[in-house]
Amino acid sequence: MTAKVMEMPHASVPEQRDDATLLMLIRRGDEAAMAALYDRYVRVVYSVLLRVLHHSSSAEEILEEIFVAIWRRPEDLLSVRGSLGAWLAVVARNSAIDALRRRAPLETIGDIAMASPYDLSNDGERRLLADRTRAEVARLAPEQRKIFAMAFFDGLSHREIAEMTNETAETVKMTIRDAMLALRRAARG
Amino acid sequence: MSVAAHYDDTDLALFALQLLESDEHRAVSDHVNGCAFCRQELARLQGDLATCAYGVEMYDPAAVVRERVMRQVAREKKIAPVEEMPRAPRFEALERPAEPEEPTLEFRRRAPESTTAHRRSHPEKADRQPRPGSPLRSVSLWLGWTVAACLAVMGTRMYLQRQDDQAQLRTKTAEAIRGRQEAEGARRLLDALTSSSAQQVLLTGTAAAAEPLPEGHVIYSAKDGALVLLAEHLAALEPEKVYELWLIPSDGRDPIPAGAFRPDDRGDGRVILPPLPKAVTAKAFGITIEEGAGGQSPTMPIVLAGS
Ligand SMILES: [Zn+2]
Repeated sequence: MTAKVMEMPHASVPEQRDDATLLMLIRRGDEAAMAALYDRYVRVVYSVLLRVLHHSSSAEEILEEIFVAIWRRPEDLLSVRGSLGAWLAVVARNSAIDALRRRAPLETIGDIAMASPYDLSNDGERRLLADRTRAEVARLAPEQRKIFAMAFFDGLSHREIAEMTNETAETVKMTIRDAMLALRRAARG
Repeated sequence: MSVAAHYDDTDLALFALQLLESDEHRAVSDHVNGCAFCRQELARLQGDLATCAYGVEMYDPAAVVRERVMRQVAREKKIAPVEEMPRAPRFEALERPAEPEEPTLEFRRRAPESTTAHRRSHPEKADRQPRPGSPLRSVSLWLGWTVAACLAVMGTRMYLQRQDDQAQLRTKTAEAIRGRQEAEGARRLLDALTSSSAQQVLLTGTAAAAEPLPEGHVIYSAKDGALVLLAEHLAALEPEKVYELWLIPSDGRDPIPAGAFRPDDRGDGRVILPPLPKAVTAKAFGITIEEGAGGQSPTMPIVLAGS
């Protein structure tokens, strides 16, 4: 039985059902739908975890927790809908930083949306966003790129970065903000 | 909105990145919880974070990871139909039951003390969080996220007043309706709503309510019978009650029900494209509190109104 689930054809037929549909099915206990959701987003979740942690078994461990949590409480995600792909990417980043810094997760604001102009449940749009982001990151000044990566992927605070780079904390803050705005332009295309 | 200064996008960016010291983090969190304006900016920044995340070099995990996840999934089988009502059905216009028409369409009066429940504190949240320190806790804290704030965000006057935001309004509303079966037809209605001919109406409360004052925004295209309501700071309701939006026709006909809804934990509520007759010119809009899934005629008082 379990073997059958694992052999689900996940690469041959493109999955057309949207996130909300998959989540509804998952809520009813549909394991195939869970597999489809996993296949849709595992790549970005894993890649973000790996980029932060540089350690595949730690990345795999958190990845499993994230997806099993979805299986347990899909109803909490129903309202995320079109932005599930955005949400998962940020959850992966934050979970990885928490693990990296060995800290308890910070309290987050409920009900803050992900303002993504992309339909990330769509393969093509996910790739498009990835390409545009990479192109925009490549356009950042090297120092800016470095500082932003320290904040985003290493979870270092602006004060920590300031110490390490001999910039003022103010400059570091502005640099991080500017990099995010540059990436926002990338997202808009 | 509070008189305290808003956080600028630099601080909000660090907040979104979770890089502030815990006391700073809490201060921003407290402010943002009560400030639609900063929530709006934060929503954008969260979107930016997702963008950043998608820029990483992509790798696939080993196939064995999928097997492990699916084995765990199979182990935690669900009891088939888990169709309990969600505690606070979020923002979906509720189906109106096909109850017989009331003979009278006059506004009924209700004892004033039963109009609104006190704004809920959230004791029920505590039991949903796994123990502190567990990585799952962050997942579960994040699980509360919703498109809702997109709309709460849009609901602010500031947002609608911005000249360049029509396109975003469209995107956000499209997000809200995406995945629904009627999405195709809805897209057409959306065009109508974001056209310059659509009416925009601000609904405000009449009673001296607690700060922040509840308000709603209606965007309505009479020609197409297309309507979106975005409301915020609504008082929590007793479990068996709903808010209901009413379109008051300009020709003096009876109010037309335009969608029942319950606000979420934050007091945000919305109605997206309720079934409405076409070509009804609206004199005003009102929101009342109704029993069950909403009625066919409004019950006084009108908690929010605008024309
Ligand atoms: Zn603010």
